Amino acid sequence: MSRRLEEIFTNLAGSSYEISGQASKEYNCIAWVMRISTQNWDCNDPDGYWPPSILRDDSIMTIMQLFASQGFSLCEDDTPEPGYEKIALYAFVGRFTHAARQLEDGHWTSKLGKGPTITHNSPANLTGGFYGNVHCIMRRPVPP
Amino acid sequence: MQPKTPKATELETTFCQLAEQWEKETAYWSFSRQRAWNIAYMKIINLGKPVLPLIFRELEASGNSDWHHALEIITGANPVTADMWGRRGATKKAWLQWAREHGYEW
Repeated sequence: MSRRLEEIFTNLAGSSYEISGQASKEYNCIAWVMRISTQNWDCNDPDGYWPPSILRDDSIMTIMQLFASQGFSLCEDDTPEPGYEKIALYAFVGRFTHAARQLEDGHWTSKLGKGPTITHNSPANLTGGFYGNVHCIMRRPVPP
Repeated sequence: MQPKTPKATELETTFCQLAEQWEKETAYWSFSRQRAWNIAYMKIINLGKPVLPLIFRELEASGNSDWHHALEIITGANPVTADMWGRRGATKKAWLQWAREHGYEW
């Protein structure tokens, strides 16, 4: 639990979230969703990684294309489905802000910028302010 | 973030305060440009060319590539060429080389 996190992400307060990993500048939320902890996937950072085939743009549509290029497709909702991993993409006025990944047990994991990783109950725990709202849920078969 | 010398200049103190505020306020943003869209960061940019040595010093110490945007705006230059993008440490290496070539000391 973190008072500072709850001040920023007010929907975390009162929920059973946990800080699962320490703050790190080595990777961000997109990398974390891809199960990578050694790269910042950042379209604006000269030191960061960005797939060459994807426009260097943080619009939510471009970020959806990025995840589509990684095998994700749009799905109906965040209900856990055996054999699939799901991600939630957040946006604020059309700009991508955050990505979270569903865990096998139905909880969600998020890397908060340069901050820590947390485990939270649902995508809604991080909505309502800083990250805007959940724009869409995508899924792909669980990687072997 | 602390000023380097005991008798810090007013500019140095202002820079350190703004940089600390910026780091704190943008820690949870995922993208570099989102972190640059911040009032404290913009105030640092508004300090203009006199602040450049302080940014170079901070960049050398931290390697934080977020300084790229401020440096690009203040100097009007961009030494981080397209072929460098995607390499860890590219920002620090390119900008510090540019700074030395242009006579900056920090």
